[in-house]
Amino acid sequence: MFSVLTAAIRATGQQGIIINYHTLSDEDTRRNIDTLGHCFDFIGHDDLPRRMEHPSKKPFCLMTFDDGKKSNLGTADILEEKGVPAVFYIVTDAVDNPEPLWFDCYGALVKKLRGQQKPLPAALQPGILKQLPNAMREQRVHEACREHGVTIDRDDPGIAPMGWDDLQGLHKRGFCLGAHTLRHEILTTEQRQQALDNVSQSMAAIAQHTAAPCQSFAFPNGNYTAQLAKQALDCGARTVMTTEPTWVRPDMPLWRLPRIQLHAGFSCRKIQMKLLAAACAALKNPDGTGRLYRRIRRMGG
Amino acid sequence: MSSVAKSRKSRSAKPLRIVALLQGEPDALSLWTLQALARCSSDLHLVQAFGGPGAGRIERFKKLSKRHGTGKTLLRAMGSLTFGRGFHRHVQQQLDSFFDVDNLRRWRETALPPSILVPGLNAEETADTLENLQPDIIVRVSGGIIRPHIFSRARMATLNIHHGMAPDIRGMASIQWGLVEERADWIGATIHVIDKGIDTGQVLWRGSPHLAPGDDFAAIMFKTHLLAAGAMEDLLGRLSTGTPLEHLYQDVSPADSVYRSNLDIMDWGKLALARGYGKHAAVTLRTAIK
Repeated sequence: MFSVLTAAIRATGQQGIIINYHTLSDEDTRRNIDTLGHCFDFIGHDDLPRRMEHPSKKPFCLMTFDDGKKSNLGTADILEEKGVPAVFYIVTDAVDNPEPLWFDCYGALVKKLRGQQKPLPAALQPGILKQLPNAMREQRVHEACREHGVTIDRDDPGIAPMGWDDLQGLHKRGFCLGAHTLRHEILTTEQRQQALDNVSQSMAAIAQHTAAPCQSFAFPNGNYTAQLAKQALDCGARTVMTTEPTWVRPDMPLWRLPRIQLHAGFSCRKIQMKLLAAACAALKNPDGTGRLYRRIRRMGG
Repeated sequence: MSSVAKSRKSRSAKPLRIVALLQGEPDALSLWTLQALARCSSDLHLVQAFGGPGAGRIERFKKLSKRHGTGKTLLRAMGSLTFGRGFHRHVQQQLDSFFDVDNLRRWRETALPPSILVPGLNAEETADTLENLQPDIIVRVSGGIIRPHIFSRARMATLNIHHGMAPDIRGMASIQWGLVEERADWIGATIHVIDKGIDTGQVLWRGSPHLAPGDDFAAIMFKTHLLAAGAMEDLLGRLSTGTPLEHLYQDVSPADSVYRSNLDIMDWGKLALARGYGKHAAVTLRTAIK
């Protein structure tokens, strides 16, 4: 049934999907590959422009993993075993300085407050935190963690970042590495020049450690402006990823590619339902802008 | 050592004496500004007015009617009392959360000296207080128009953060006007010396926020004020190390300088149509994606 529906979607001119994951267990990885493998051709990053221009019978699927957590290594082993290419987007300063990122601390904080049945203060609501510049957000979350005695397990593979050796290994095995900023800053909340520098510095770090040009950039949380995307292109990126939750159409610019977010624990049915909803542009963008992406597309931006 | 160098050295040894002028209880924006000022100087004094800015409501209405006409003034009053009130309450709640106002209030209680209370910012008592304090710099943190007998009390200058790109856009609600009239170039902030005109003084700094799809008015205001308070800290830091004020003057000569007062009831309607207080103001969206 799902393959009939994807064929129908394909007939409307929607060429394929780019999936945005963060961390998956081995079981989740296998389930996602099996579910998607029935109806999609798995493609690598370098095949994307060609597949957008020259559609084939089966829609394509490009898998991407954000944040560069250590648990991605296990996922990469399964992907390699199954012959599935993927892109890993790396938070480059986190590799050198493995202090937990703000959302790792925030996750632990929310868990602790829920356990104690304490309400989350307004200043710590996710919608508020995501509007703050990174330094302010990290400071606020770290202070709250100290206040509530929250500790972070830095060895947890879902929190610890991959090292440069791990990443060079992935690169040698044929996986594509892209940049995902220095400290997972939501770039539209940073001052303009700092945000532009962040894009170029994180891409330079990937290029330096892989001894190859950094070909892709993904916006943390999905928030972007045209100027930031152009900066990534100027620094050598061929593709720039957002979190606009739609299928890929041939007329979409490579500097603003949509990605559908799938999470750990999703069942086959849930994955299928989400992909169908994405084909109808019915999903909300997880970057906090709702369905504004429809309007942006209409405006031709 | 030259006399100029000597005077710079003596100035840099002593912190700038800064007086912050406040109208009523400080909100999140004001507290954030105060925090920036406190980082610049250990000699910070707060002068806080609890009365109105000077004239009473009826007197003010008469004055505005004379200037803008009774009809226009009535429409503005209606706008403020209807849409304006709800809008400001919503924006204030958002800004309180962005700036973590509870934390700022705790900081104020422990880190700042008690305020010197005055009946109004333009009252004679305020002038006397400033005369006693002999400030190097006065910063208007909140409140209405400051009269010459107040702003002239600073040794160097009286400064203001105007939320809007002065002198291109002057007066009240400049950022809202930027959204209503789809002028992205009006969205930003200016630090200027206060003079007799409204937002006409020498400009020391101007900056515009990093606009993004999905920014609503509260988000724009937050980004703008962060930028402006940071710039104020930087400017005061330079002044305290002996940079002459005149060296900080910016050459801004707009083709057109526009003055706007408060939005009237029709303008609030236009703001709603421009999605100015929705999730995505049209002008910011276009600026961000083009």
